[in-house]
Amino acid sequence: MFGTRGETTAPVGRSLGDAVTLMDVTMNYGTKYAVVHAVRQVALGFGRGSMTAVMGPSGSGKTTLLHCAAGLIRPSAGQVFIGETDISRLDEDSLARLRRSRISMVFQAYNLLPALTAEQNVMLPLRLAGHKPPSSQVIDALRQVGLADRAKHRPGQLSGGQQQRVAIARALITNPEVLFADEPTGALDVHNGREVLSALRHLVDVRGQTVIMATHDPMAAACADRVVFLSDGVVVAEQRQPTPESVAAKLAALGG
Amino acid sequence: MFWISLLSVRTRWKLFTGLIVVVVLGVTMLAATGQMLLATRDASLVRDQIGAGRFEAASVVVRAQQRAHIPTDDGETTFDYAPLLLEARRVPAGLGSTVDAVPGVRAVALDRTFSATLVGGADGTRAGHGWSSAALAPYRLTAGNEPRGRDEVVLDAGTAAAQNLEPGDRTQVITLGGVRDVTVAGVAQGPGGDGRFAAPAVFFPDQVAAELSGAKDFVDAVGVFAEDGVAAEALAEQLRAALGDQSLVVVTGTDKLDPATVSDYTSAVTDSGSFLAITALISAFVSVFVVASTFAFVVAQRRRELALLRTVGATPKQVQRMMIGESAIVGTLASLAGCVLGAIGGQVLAGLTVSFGIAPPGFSAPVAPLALIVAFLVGVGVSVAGVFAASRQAGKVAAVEALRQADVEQGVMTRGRWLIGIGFFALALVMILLMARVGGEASVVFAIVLTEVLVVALAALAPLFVPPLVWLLARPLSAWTDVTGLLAGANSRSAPRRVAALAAPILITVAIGSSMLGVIATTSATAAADARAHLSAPFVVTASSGAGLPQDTIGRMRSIAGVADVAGVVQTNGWAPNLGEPDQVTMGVADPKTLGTVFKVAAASGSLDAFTGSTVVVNREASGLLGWTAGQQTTVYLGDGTAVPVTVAAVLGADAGLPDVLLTPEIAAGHVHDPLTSEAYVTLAPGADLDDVRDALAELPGVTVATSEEWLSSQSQNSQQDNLVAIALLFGMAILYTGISIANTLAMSMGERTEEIRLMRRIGATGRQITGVMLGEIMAVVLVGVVLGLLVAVVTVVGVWRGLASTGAEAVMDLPLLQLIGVVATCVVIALAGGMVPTMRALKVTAAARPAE
Repeated sequence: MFGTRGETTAPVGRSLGDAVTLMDVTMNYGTKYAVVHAVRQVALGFGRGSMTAVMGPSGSGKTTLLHCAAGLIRPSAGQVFIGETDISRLDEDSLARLRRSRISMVFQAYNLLPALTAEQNVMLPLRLAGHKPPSSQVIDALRQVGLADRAKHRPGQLSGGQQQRVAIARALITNPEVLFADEPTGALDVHNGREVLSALRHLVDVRGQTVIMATHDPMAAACADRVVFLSDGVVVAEQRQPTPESVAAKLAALGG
Repeated sequence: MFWISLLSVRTRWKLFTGLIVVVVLGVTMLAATGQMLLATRDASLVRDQIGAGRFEAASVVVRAQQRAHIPTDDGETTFDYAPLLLEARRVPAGLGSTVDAVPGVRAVALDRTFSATLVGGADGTRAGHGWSSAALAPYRLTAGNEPRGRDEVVLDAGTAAAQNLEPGDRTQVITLGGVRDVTVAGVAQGPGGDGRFAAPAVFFPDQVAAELSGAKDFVDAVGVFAEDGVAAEALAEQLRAALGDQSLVVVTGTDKLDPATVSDYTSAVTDSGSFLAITALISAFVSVFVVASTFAFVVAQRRRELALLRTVGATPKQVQRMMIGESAIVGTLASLAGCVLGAIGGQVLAGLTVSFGIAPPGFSAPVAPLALIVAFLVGVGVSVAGVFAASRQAGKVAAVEALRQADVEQGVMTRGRWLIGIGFFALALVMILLMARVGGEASVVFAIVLTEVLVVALAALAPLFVPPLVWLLARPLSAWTDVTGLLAGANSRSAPRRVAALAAPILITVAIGSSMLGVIATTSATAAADARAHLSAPFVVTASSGAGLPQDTIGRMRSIAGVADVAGVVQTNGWAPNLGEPDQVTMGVADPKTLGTVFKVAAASGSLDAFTGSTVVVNREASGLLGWTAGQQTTVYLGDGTAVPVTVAAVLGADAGLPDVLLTPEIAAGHVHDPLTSEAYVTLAPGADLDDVRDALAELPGVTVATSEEWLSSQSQNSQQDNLVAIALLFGMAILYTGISIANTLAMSMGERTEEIRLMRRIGATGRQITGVMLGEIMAVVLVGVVLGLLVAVVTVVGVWRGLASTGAEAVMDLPLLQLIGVVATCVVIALAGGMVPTMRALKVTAAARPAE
C-alpha cells in the first residue's frame, strides 16, 4: 500500500515470532463534548529480539500506542497480546503484576524514586514482587548500563543520562519479555542521549532484548531495527534498517 | 502581582481549600471559646440569667442586710470592707405582721431557707423551705397536693424528675435535725422551667420548716405582694419609710433573689470561667499553631511553582508580596466564615459545658462582638504572619529549583527553626527551674504554659528527630513487610520537613492531652498522699448525699459499740485579716479533744493542747499566706460577719486536707446555720471488730461508710473524674480540630506526590502495596508526633512534681497509663482516618498520565 523501497505494510494477525501484538487497537479519549481518536484500528507486531521505534509528529498517538502496548491503559477496542497473554482484559492489579514480571518501562523523565539509591531503585520491581534479589544481580544490572560504581548514589546525585541508564537497569532486572521506552532521550542533551541509546542497543545485540521505543528524534529512531510511522493515530509507513536521514525525510513528509 | 494572587487562589484551590478549612475552624474555636469566656466575665449578664428565681412573683422582698463590715487598715487609709455574708443573716418572724400592716400591702409570705437534701440527691444543700413561700415564685402543684402532715413534702419538678419520685412515694431527707422519713405529697413546677437556672427545692409544712431551720422565731425573708394598682417601686419606698431600720433592705426586681443563691450561681459560673480561660488559652494556641504551620507548609509545597515565577523574572520581594496577598485573601474570607460559625459555636459550647456539669444550668453565651472581632483579627493576622516568615525563605528560592527534580529535602533546619527551637527550649528550662520555687498551685498554672512552650520548641526542632525515629520504625517495618516498609521509611527519611509538618498537629494534641492528664493525676495523687499521711482513723463516714452529716447522726455513731470516738470538721467560711486586708478563708469547727486522735497532725509551733476557748489553729499553707505565728493575737470574722478576737494556739506542720483555720465549737456556736459535718472520722475502741463496726455504721440512714483507704482513693478519683470530664470536652474539641488538620495536611501533601505514586504504579506496585507505603508513612508521622508529644508531657509533669515537692509535702508523680494510651490511640485513629483521604487519592493515580496532563 505504501510501496516505496524498504517499506512494507504492517502485518495483520499474530505471528509466533512477535513479543507484542496489537490487533485492531483503537483508543478514544472521550470528553463530554468530543471524542478524540488517539489511535485508530492499529494492527502491529513487534518481533522478538529486535528494537522498534514508533515515530510521528506530536499528537500522532505514539505515546498512547505505547501505553496501550505496555498495558498502562486499556484500549477502547481491539486486543493487545504480550506473548500469548491478552492483556487488554486484565484488571489493574494483574496489570501491575505483569508490569513487574514480563514487561518493563523507561520514561522520558521522573523514572526514579528520589528517596531511594540507584541500587534500591533497581531492585524495586523485584522487591514489589516479593523477591529479594542478591546484590550481585543488582550490581550486574547496573554494570550492563555502565553504572556499577554508582550503586549507592541517589538520583539527585546523578546526571540526566545516568538517571536514564539506572532506569534501564531497573527495567532489566526482571528479565522482561519487552522493554518499553517512551522518549527515553527526550529530556537529555546529545551526549547523554547517545549514552542511553547505546545502552539500549547493547541490550538488544548482546541479550536479545525486545525493545519498543517511542521517539521523535531521528537519531534515536535510527538506532532501531525498524521504524513505524504514525500519523493521526494510524500507521502510515515503516522503514527497516533506518538511517537518520531516511527517518528525517519521512518525518518531514508527514509534516512532523 | 496581586492579580497573580487571585489567579493562584483560583487554580491551586485544593491547597487553598485545605488552608481555608484550617483557618475557618481555628477562628470558630477562638470565637466560640472567647464568647464563653466573656459570658462568664459579664456580671450583669450572669445576674440576668437567674433573674429573681424563687421571688419572681413577689412585688417586694424585705430581708436583713447581707453585708459584713470589716474595718480595714492597709497602712495608708482605713476603710470599711463590706463583703457579702457567707452565712445569711435572718430577720425576726414578727417582721411579717409589721410589713403586712403597711398600706398598699395585699399579703406577705415568710421565707425560710435551710439545709435539706434528699438522700441520694446530689443537688443544692439549702433547698428546704416552708410551703407558704411557694407562692412567692410561684411554684404551682402539677401533681398531688400541698404538704399537710409533719412528714409530708412537696418537691420541685426538677428534683422529683431527677430522683424519679411521684406523689405517694417515700424517701428520706437529711436535715439539721437528722435524717427524716418523708412522703412526697406533691410535685410543683416553679420558675426555671424555661431552661433558666432553678435551685432545687423541698417544701415542708410551715410549722415543720420553722423547726428545721434551727431558728424558729426568725425567717430569711418577708415576701410582699402589692395591692392591685400599687407599683413595686412605690411600695418599696413606702416600706423603707415605714420600717426605717438600717439593718433591713427592701428590694425589688432581680434583687429580690437572696444573695446566697446569686453568689452560689455566680461562683459556679466563675469556676467554669477559670476552666474556660484555660480552654480559650489552649484553643487559641492550638489554632494559631496549626494555622501558622499549615501556611508554612503550603509555602514549602509550592517551592517549585515559586521557583518558576523567579525564572520568569519575579524578584524575591514580588514573590513575597504575592504570597502575603494570597494569605490575606484566604485569611479574611476564612476568618469571616469562622466568625459566623463561632457565633453559633459559642451557644453550642455553652450548652455542652452545662450538660457536662462544668457550668451551672441556665448558663448561656450570647453573641459577643468583641470576641468575634478579636477572633477575626487573630485569624487574619496569623494567616499573614504564618506566610510572612515562610515567604521570606520562599522568596529566595533559586530559579534553578524549578528545573531540578524533587529530591531529598536540603537545608531543612533553617536558621529560623534553630532560633525558635533553642529559644523556646531555653525558656522552658527557665520555667522548669522557676516551678521548683513557686510552689504547688502556681506550678500547675506554669505547666499549661510550659506545655505550649515545649510544643513550639519541639515542633521547630522536629526535623532533627525525624530520621532517627523513622529509622527505628522502618527497621521492623521493612523486616515484616515486603518492600513497602523500606519505601515508606526511605520516603519519610528523605522528607523530614514534610514529616515534621504533618506530625505537628499530632504533637500538639498528644502533648496537651497527656500533660493535662499527667498534671491532674500527679496533683491529686500528691494530695491523697498528703491526706493519707495525716489520717489515722480507720473509717470515714460521709453523707450519702449533698450537705453532710447532721449532729444527730454523729451522736448515733458515737453510741455504736466499738466506736471510740467520732470526729468531724464542720465546714464554714469567714475572713482573716492579711496585712490589713481581709482574705476569705475556709474555716472548720473541730472538737479540740478529738483533733489529735483522728489526724496525725503535729503542731509545727505552739501546741494543740492550747486549742480551747477563744483560740484557733491554722494550717501550714494558710499560716504562710496570713503570716500568723503561734501565740499571736488577731481577729477573725465569721461567715455572718461577727468579729471574734482570738489567739493562734498552734500552726500545723501540714495541710492534711484540713480547712485554713480551725475554730473551737465555742466560737462557732450560733454563727453557723448548717452545722453539718462533711466527713466524720471514726476511731475504734481497743479490741473492736472492724467488720461489726462497719456494719453498724452502714445501718444508719443516709450515710456512706468507707475505710480511710477507700475514702482517700475515691476522693482522688472524684477530683480526677471532674477534671476528666472537663478535659474530655477540651480535648475533644482540640482533637477534632487537629484531626481535621492532619487529614487536611496529608491531603495537601499528596499534590506533589502524584508523580511518585504514578512511577510506583508503572514499576508494578499493586494497590495494596501503595496503601502499605502510605500507611507506613502515616505511621512514621504518628510516631514522630506521639514521641515528641509524650516527651513534652513527661517534662511538664516532672516540672509540676518538682513544684509540688518544693512545698515540703511528699510529692507523688503519677502518669495515668491507661488514659495516656487512650489519648495516643485516639490520635492514631484520627491520623489513620485522616490518612484515608490521601490514600484513596493515591489509589486513583493510574500508571498512565491522563491526556489532560
